[in-house]
Amino acid sequence: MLADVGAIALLLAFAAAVYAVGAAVVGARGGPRDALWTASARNALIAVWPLLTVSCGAMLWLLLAGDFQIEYVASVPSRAMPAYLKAAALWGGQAGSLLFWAWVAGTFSALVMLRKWDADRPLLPYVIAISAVTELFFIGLVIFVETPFSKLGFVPADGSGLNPLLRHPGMIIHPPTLYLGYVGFTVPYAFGMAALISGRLSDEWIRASRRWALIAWLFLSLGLVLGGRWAYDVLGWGGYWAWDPVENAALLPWLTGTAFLHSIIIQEKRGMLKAWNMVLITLTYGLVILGTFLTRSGIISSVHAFARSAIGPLFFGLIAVMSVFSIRWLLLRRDSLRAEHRLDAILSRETAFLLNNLLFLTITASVLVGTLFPLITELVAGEKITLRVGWYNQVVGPQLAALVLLMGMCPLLSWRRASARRLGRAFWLPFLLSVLLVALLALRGLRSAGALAGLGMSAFVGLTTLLEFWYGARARRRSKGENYLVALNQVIVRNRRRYGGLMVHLAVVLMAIGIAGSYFLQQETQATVRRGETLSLGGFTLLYEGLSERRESDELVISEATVSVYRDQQLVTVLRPRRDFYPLSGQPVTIPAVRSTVSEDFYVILVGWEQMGEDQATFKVYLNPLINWLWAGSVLFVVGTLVAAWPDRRARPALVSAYRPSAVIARRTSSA
Amino acid sequence: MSEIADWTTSAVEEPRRGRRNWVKFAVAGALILAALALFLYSTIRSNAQYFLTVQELRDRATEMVGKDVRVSGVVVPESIFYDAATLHLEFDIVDRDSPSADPVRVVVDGQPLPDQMNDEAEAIVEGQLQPDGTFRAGTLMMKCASKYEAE
Repeated sequence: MLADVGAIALLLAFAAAVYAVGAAVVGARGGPRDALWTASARNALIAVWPLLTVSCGAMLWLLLAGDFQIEYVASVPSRAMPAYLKAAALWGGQAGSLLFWAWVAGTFSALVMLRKWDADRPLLPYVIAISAVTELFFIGLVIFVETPFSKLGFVPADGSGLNPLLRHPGMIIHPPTLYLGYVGFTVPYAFGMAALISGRLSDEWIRASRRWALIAWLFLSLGLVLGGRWAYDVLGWGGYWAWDPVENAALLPWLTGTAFLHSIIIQEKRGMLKAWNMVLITLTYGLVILGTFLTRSGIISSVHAFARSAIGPLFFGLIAVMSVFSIRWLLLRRDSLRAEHRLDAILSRETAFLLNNLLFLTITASVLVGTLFPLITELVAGEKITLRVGWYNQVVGPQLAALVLLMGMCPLLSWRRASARRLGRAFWLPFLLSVLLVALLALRGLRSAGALAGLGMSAFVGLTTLLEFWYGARARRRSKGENYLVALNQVIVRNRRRYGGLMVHLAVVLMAIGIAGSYFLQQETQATVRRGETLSLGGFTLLYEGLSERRESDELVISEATVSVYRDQQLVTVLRPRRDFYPLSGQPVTIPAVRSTVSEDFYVILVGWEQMGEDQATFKVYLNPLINWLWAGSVLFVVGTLVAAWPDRRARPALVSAYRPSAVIARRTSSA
Repeated sequence: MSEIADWTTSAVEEPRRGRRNWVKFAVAGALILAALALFLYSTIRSNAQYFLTVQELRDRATEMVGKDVRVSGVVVPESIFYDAATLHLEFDIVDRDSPSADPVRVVVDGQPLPDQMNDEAEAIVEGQLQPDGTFRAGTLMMKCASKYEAE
């Protein structure tokens, strides 16, 4: 019954979306009465949201109630699972996750429809049409291809349950965060296309959609980090990123999206890169769809097992249609997309931004080549060839390092024309300090060249960025007589975009420190020890105290080892690495025990004991230096993005040319 | 990349200079692309490995001995031998599409037994086929059940 309600709501949502597309197309003609059609299309697109909410709500209810006659419910949760995992099953399987995806997209569309449209009304019909077409695609998939509400001819006693490895709070937040990020990029894409088609190619569309892009980007970033953290906590291999195709699929749109967020600044400030921004947002949206396609079609082999299904070709079709459509309009409008200014000097912030874009794109190209390599070689040479994980580190690592370095310099370069002398003045102190730091670390015995380079560079970039805050606060303190804290706060509040961005830069530096430390300096060892024996790694000594086994429930048996961790003969902590065993599914889950500090994680995995009795156990131990800087950086990342995205009272940023230095004006009076 | 250069630099008011710039940026763009391609190519050669199914590995066994190969196959649960004290692991994998055909014996050292290694789990191993027909793997990854649904 409830399933029927859900299915009918889906059909109605589909109908509303079809109507929205049609009415929006009529409304786009722009006649006096056509505005009514646009208004009607807008209402229809808003109406899609409650309909999808009913549908998703029905599915959620069925999952929680355990109505196993519904095929999807039977394939997913079992009665004994906690409620939060039953709810998470909504996005745990193919059909459900598509439904959830449609709902998220519907939420974004409805919110966009409800924004204030006074100034950008001419864009509205196109934004409606493009959002509604995306909606139609996903609603169509759950109506015609992957039907979440279809019923079985019989009623099974219980569902098949969730793999215990996935019974983790990460399952609740990681997938939806990624979805929000993915789907969110539909909004700036729709605005971009609306601007192209309507021919309103000033930076109106960018101002209208920048915040949406920022929010989508924030969720995508969070999704990536949460995925890494979940892998680190659960999978017990001491790592967080493996360059697996599924991870790459989420990274690719993040890379182009980040490039987009940077290059729109140039368009706003200098009226340049207009076509380029269109290309970037199209590419980002295309990579979102490509990522969904890659992870759902099973076309690329991954360690993440996804249900294979027939929806692959449909996604491929969407990518093809969308590419042809976007490229056609780009070509038609290429004359209106010309830049209003030219590059004035090689040493300028514009050039730095160009270089930044270039690096983001070469990284994107590298990751894409790596991800699709087996596919490419099979097509070209008839032989599947893959690249080792080491390849990515070798190829992408240096490019990322260059990007981080550029990130430290870019905010200090002036627009139009930067002076080398001023740069020198800004850089000497951070440079000196970071060289000192590297020397100090080397003297204290750090021998890894990669770690020294990575940490030295991070220190340089971090210091130049911190100095920006310092200079800002000092200048304000001087002019207003406030104390430093108030001045710093005022400086940030008055220019949220700049300082929010700089906070994100600082966050990236922290993350770079974490990555450099854990990548270059990780140590690991493994050993079998008797009770009372020890095992050593990187200055730590682990003493095996014993093992206990307890039956938590019929579904769960926990075996827990107790180990004391010493450093310099001092007891630092007692850790309890354990293995949970789920007798029903025969599935063990190894839970590492970790001592986390600012300087490192001491990460202990209980590997085995069964064959040896409880007097002996085998441990695998990792020492992951500086890894917590990565997680701490992620928190600052979120804060910085929110600061940058926070609504500003001022409607519009000033163009640079409005206050360009008089010397420059004198020299180039001819340029507009 | 040349298109971006065009859009950024072509000046409406100075068409001739714009054209010259266009050429400059096109050359720069081509050089960058070429450098990237060369970089990728040179690193790809030393990091490439064949990606085979168990069946393909068996069919091309003589040719593949000693080469870097990545193989994916389904683990035969009753074949798993694991010595926790030495972290020595051996197991058979069979082809996903023809599970009754001959398996390949995989040998891995120094890795804990993955949690996911039980019924019908799919393993991805990287290493070399030995002359005696066993596959010595340096890396063992298990397909992680990202989704609720059984395959």
